[in-house]
Amino acid sequence: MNILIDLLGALMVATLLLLMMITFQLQLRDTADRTIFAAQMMTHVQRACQELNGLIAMAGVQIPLDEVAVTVAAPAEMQFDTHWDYYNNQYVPELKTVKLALNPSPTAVGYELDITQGTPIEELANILWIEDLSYFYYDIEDNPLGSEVLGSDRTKIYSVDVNMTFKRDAPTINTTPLRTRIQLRCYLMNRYLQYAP
Amino acid sequence: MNFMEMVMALLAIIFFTTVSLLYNRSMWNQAENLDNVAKVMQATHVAHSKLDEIDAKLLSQQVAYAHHQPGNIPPTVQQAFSPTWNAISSSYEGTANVDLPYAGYNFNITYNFVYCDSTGSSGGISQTYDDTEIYRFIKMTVTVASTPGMSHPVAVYRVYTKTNFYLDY
Repeated sequence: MNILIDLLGALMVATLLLLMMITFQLQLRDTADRTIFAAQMMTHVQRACQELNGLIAMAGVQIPLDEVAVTVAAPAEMQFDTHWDYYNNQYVPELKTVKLALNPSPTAVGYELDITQGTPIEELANILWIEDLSYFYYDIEDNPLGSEVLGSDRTKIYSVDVNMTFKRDAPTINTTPLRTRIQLRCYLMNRYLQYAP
Repeated sequence: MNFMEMVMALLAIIFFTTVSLLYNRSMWNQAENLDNVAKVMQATHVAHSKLDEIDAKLLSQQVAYAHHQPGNIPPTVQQAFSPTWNAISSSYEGTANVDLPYAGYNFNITYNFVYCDSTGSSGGISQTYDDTEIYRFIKMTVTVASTPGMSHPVAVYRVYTKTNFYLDY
């Protein structure tokens, strides 16, 4: 009888030990994976923000202030005219139209933010893992114009809030996806440059 | 199982449970760090966007080294460089609060304005007005903090000086 109790005790302790080790290993792997994933996402989000900020800064180059530079100011789509050629990164005499909108068909890695100047702009059109994108427009005094601006009010657009949610599935199955929300204020620097009080 | 063995078994259980809890605590800390990363990144963007705002408003001459006088008369050199006339320092000073409903964050911003040299160093640079130094550099530091959340505030600075775009104002 004593031997049986000894065995049971040993079994209990050993089971606890094994359980602890297995749980720890799984958690460690999961956390490490999530950390690596999150770090990669942060780099991606950072790059996306940097590119969007640079892109929107060049909106409306050489377009007079009383003319519409942001031709489409919708909640999920922004389109603007400019004399800046993003392909070659230089000023051009002909008018270019740049569109920033989510591709309607989802890919395996979420929605893709398409940045097109007729055709996708190289190196800028691959902002992936987007779950949600919305814009909010402001005038020169930072007063809100709303998420949709129509007609001649579009000439008042001087800055825009770009709201993005990035989503990436976590490495372990049946776990919460990694989501990063970012709210970025981008200024149309060329509109400000042309403005004279 | 005698008494001593029972005690040993209990001690083992306590030991393993403690180690397990310690490990779990480390995991939770890592998870908190992940959340912190997103917050730090958002705070950095807030800081940059505030500095972008100053840039933009310098370009549009809404903010300058000096305010417009009545009648849109450009200020004199003395006024333009006087601390009381400096529009950057008076428009962006003290603290402000930024609420980001979409990202779900709320940040407190502190502006800090000093005169500096072209490298951004304020050491040895007089902080009082001197009209003999026509081209002065100013260093605007934006510190973004959130409560609770970020363990350390984010500080970003830019050095501004007069260019021909806003020399007249």
